[in-house]
Amino acid sequence: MNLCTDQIAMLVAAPGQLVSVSYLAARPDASLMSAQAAGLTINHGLAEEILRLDPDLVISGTYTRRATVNMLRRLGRRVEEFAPANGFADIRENVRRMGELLGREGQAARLIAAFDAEAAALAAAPPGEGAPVLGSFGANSYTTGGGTLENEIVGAAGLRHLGEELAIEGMARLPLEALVLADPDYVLLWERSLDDPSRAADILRHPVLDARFGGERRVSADSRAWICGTPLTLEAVAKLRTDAGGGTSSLRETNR
Amino acid sequence: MIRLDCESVAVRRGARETLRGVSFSCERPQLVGVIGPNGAGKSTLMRAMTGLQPHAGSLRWQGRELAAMPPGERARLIAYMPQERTVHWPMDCIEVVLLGRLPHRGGFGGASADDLRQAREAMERMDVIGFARRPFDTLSGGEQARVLIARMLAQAPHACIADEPVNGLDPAHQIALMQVLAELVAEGRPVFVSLHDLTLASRWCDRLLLLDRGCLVADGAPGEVLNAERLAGVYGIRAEHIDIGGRPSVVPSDLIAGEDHVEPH
Amino acid sequence: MTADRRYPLLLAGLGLLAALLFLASLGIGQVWIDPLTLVAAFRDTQSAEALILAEIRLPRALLGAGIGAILGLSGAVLQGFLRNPLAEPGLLGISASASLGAVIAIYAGLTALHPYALPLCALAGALVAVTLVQMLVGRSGDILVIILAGVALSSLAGALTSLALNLAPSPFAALEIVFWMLGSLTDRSLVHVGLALPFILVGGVMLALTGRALDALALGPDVARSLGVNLDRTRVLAVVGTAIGVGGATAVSGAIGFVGLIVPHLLRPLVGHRPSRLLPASALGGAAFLLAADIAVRVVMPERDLKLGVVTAILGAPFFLWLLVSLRRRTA
Repeated sequence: MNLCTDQIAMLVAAPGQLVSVSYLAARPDASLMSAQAAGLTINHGLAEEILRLDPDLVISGTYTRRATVNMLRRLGRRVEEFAPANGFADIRENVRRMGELLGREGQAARLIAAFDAEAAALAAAPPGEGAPVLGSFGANSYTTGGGTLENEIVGAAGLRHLGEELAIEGMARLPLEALVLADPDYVLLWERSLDDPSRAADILRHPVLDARFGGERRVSADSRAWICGTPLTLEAVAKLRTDAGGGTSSLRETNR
Repeated sequence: MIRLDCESVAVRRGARETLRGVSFSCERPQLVGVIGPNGAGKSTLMRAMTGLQPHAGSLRWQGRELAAMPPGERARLIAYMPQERTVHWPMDCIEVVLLGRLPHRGGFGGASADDLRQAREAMERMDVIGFARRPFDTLSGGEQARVLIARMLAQAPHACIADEPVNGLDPAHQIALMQVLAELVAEGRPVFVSLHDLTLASRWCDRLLLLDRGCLVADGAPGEVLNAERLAGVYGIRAEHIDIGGRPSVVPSDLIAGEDHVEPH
Repeated sequence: MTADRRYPLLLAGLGLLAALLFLASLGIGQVWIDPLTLVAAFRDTQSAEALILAEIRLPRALLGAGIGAILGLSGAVLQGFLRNPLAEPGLLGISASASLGAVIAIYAGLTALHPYALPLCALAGALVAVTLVQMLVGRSGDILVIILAGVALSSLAGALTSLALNLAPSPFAALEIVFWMLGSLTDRSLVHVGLALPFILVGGVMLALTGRALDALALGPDVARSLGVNLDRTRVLAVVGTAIGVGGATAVSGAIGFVGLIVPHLLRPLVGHRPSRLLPASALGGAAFLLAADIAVRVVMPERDLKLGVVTAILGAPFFLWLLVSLRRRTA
């Protein structure tokens, strides 16, 4: 019922074990595993859909469709909830628990081992004082700070994270003016690539972003690898490292 | 000299004909009273004569078809005062009267010194100059009527059309108003005024047009129009005929029983 | 003539106020920048401060002034034309309908075909609403009729906007109903200025041309016509002018209510209640009012992206209720 748990489940489950995933997990623009989802029934997180599939176990995100989850529980279904991963440790834990729930502890352990090995290969010294700063900027001018998966990805790629530098925890609004003044070395624009027009994403086309953070200072990212904490998230680290890693910051000291 | 010719003027509102084949001419300045029971078509005729009411037939001022006259020119020729005396914003009275000068102003200009002079003259004539700086809505009904007549005078028209201007005025102001209208006639303007008060109509008007159910049933001097037969036929009333200062006047006295004339149709 | 002499002073004062607030709007942003640094930004056009000034604050100030002016002006014109002191684009559902048009343009992807699709669709939405209101209210000056017409139109436009946003493919669309209903100038760019300002100017000129006719209309439609006023022309100017101006404004700012109600009402006694004089005063006053509200939004809670319509409604709704009570007392 949830894009992120669906992807972990698809990685962990044995063939035929998984009956249905959410429609988002099957969308190529949202999920890294849309190909694997192609053979499964698609659900939209509606209680009636789920009940007709008659599953032994329903896996949901903590913040997914509370009403549906409660309804399914009242109707006697077993529902397991997964909190979204806020870091690499959460990814390991989620994979391990998924293996336990699906009786696939071996597969889970293999995934975790591979994840650890890859992470170790990518790991560099933690970003120092002189490392370049990357700021992310998303729809409705939200930026991400410490204690988040994005923060860990950015750090793992050897970059300082603007959100963290500004002492932001989680997600917060960062006025466009503040972004321009903070002047990070790289800017990561979320949802800019979305074709579906919305006013929230309109801000990402503001001329000031192109004037200030165009060309080399723009980092593109595959949001599919960033949204969900799965073993596939390391792809984001590798890509970011090649795009923006190394070098030192040209950032002058901000006065905050 | 202003001349008005009405020929077979007819107005239809939905299925109902509110005016039917009204024809008359006015060749010299007269105080013309338009009378008739409720719903006879008095207001419709007044609006038609002002060019506000689409109609069949021909309505010519100075030999020119009214419907074809440019609005600005029409406004400098005829001034109109409707029955309702609303001013929608509490403007000062001088501002209300100055609105009468609109047809004489250029595109964007404000009121000129001449406009102001004419407005003040009109207000002096109606004895409301003291209210110049008072908001219109603080005046009594009679004072408001006089300010609105000053507004009409400020328009410096060649003819005036006033729909029941004496409604709601006390007798003194009614007489004062009829006096002013008579003065306008003496200055060479034809004045058309609709009236319910037959005594005032017969006492002050030079000529009466009697309407009944959209038709012009009588046209002539008050003494001829308001004979006992017509008063009975059109209004369903009896009246005393008395003489006031050499003019024959009518004072309605009582209903004629057995016939329901109060509600036409 | 006291009112006559006072009038140019009033206009000059309002103009000065709007100009000062415009400058303040450049100086006060979402983040604090030292005024001296801002002044220095005029020399160093490559600095971050210069960029913020030219690309973020200038468009916002321009839109605040332009949109405030057209909202104030259209409120004054609608009140004069309908002879009803409660007429206002927000209350009559004109802004909400313009929002609906804009939403359809954006989320149906029409804006991708041509940028002007946005203001044009908003204009179309506004035009439908003004025409309906004019037909419903035109004959009677009844307060009840105008309020009910506005309520009906606003709820219908709001519901349809919500429907359009729910059907939109973008995951953010459904959350944006707040913006379209309450309006905001946050992070609008010069692109938006280019979209809105031409419409605001054309609509504003059309509305300004109604002044004389509105004066005459104070005496009722019959007398106005007898004074040589062409009411059909006035109707076209008022209806189409409002649609163009409010449509263009709403397309980039969302629906901002109450500006057209409060501003003309505060200024009416100061211009001697004459509708034509109220027009330029309301335009300047509207600009000043919206600039001030937009500054308040940024000063009070800079990090929360407070909606502009929240401020205007907090000021406007009690004002509206007070007006309603005093009108009922007067007509009772």
